[in-house]
Amino acid sequence: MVKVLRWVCRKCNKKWLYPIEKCIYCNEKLEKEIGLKTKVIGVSKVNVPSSYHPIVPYYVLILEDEHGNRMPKKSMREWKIGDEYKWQPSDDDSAVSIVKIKYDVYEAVKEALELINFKLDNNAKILIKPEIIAKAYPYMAFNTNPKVIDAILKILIEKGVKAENIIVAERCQFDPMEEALPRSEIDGVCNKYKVKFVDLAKSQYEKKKEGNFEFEIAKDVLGRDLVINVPVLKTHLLLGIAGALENMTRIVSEKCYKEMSSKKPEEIAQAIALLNKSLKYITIGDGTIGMQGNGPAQYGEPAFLNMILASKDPVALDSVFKEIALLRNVPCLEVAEKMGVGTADIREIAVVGEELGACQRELKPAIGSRLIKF
Amino acid sequence: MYVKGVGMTKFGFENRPTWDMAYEASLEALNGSAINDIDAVVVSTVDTLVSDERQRHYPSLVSSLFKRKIPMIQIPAVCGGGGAAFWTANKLGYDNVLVLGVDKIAVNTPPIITNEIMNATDKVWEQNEGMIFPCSVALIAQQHMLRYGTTTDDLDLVAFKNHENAFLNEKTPFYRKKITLEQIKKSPVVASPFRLYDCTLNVNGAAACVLTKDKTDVEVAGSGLNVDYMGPFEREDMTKLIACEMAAKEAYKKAGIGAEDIDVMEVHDAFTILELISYEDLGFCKKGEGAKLIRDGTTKIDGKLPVNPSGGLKARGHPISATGMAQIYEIVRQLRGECGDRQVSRHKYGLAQNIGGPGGSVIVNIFKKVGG
Repeated sequence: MVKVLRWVCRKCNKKWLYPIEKCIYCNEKLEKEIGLKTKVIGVSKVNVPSSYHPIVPYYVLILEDEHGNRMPKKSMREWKIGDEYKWQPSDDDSAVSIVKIKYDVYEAVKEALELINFKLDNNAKILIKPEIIAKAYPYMAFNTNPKVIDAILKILIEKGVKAENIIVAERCQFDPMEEALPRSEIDGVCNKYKVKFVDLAKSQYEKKKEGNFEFEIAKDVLGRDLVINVPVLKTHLLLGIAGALENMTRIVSEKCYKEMSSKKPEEIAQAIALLNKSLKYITIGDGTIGMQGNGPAQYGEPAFLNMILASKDPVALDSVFKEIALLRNVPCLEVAEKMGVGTADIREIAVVGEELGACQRELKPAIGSRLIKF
Repeated sequence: MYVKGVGMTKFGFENRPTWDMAYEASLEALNGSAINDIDAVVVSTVDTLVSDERQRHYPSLVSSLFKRKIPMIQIPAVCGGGGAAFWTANKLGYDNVLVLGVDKIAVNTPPIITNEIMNATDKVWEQNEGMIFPCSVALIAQQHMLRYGTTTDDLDLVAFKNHENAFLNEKTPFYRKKITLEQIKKSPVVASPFRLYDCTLNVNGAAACVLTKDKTDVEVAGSGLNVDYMGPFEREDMTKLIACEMAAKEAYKKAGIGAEDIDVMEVHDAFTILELISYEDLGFCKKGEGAKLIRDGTTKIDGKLPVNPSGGLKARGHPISATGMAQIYEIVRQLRGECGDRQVSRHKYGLAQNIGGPGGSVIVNIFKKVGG
């Protein structure tokens, strides 16, 4: 279901498009009003391209919900006034959901998970794997947005998962975790929900052989019933893009990671694929900001994507991000598909929620001699 | 307050530096009076980053240009910038204020300019959903059509009338360029129901005036400014510009007149439907009956209520912040009887209505011819 959101003061009968906490007239706490039954009350077919909406024609609909609240919605297909507008979830293993954030990250994450029919055992031992690669503020988009981690933890706790059964774990790539974690503001979120943070650099590792590679995987990861991978959606100067597949490379020891990275391009792609093949997880792609250009860190720049992706299939999720960003040729995804990690062919992926075409906008690709090509 | 001189560059696609356009319009507005007599400058310009100049601090630019160190303030208010600058200057209490609107918009490719102009909408609810400006107002038009039976033929008549007027205005890009009703009807669809000729043009230009406490032949009889929610979809009634109604009410009250007293007006027809809605919200007809005034010729240059004798935004073009001042330029010259072939016959009261965004802010200024 597409959600129309408003923040309402019942006393003053005023509504806001923004998640403000209190009514500026009476100081009462606002309620969130969610519309679920939406009808098309207006349609315009747009034939002129703009930088953020380069593919034409497209349609902009005005949707109205059962509360009389309205919202615009972009679509790539024709609609008639009076049509019901709704999203259908998918049970397909390679389904990828896309949800644009309407100032409320929690609602977007929740909806993205509902659209892929994510089922949760509330007794499960869960590991959340964010991306914390450097000492950087959230606005820089190097690391997973703490608002996304907050939303995930809130959803898990609401569904009955005990805080002591959840850990948030990562190995920082460029800086000591002691410095990166507070700067990422993820430590504050963990403290808020009384969830433990584990620095995977200090983990014990277990050797695991996959194909020609032997990985040293953190035991903290292997012992969990459910892993939730939460990468930032980025372009990447080595891999082309960094999303679900790349984010899991930091569950291995630093030594193992360096060995993987020093191999030939094709072997790097194979190693990433094999590592991911050995794991089972779901991915929530953090596109709150995202990154374009020469990511994953200081040579990239914020992409302002304003969306959340979710999938049980990491290759499908990365492929959908590649399509959203209108990027060409990301060999790692093809290798991963060939090795049976997931689905890279966009024609085979069930995209649910927002239409893929309605989200496409050219991001600056990574460039330079280090980019994997084969 | 009274209006002394007014000035305006030709609006068009010439790639002149902003300072050059600002200088020309100001020089004409000063009309021989000394820059030393000016006590303050209010300048409006949008902070566009897609122009080759990337100049954001206009008060200091104007200081360099005029070699003056007096209070200068910048009033950026997107498409309503010129009107908002004038409204502000009128409130300041200085003896003589130069008001200037200037923008360079025709400086980049259409997709980049379209994207830049979209920045006057909400990022999350509108920009991310492809709500470019023509689309935002097209959806208003559609609601008006559904509720009141306004047709695309009515919109075509607005475009046709304003192009006929611009044919007579040497400051517009359509001066002596005939546009037929057939051309308008056959033009490509931009954002349905709008065709190309329903939409204004992105042009470059500047316009200015000198406001003074000294009595002149044109008085600022009333002035009103009001605002509404950013996105039309959030408003209770998408077909109505409440900001316009409220600004007009304030301006009429201050002027001590009603809509029936207005002889000529310039309204913000960035898109044709906005002219029809403005007829309604400014009080010239009942809600939903705007189309009648275009159908029966009331608003033609020789009609009972000439609207947009300059050609309007539709055919004069829309250099964003200069537009509000260009409207005032036209009204003042109409009241003074200086408009040659497009001079209207009755010209005691003139009204200029300037809209920011798709109705997010509206400024209404009423001018009165004194004496003569």
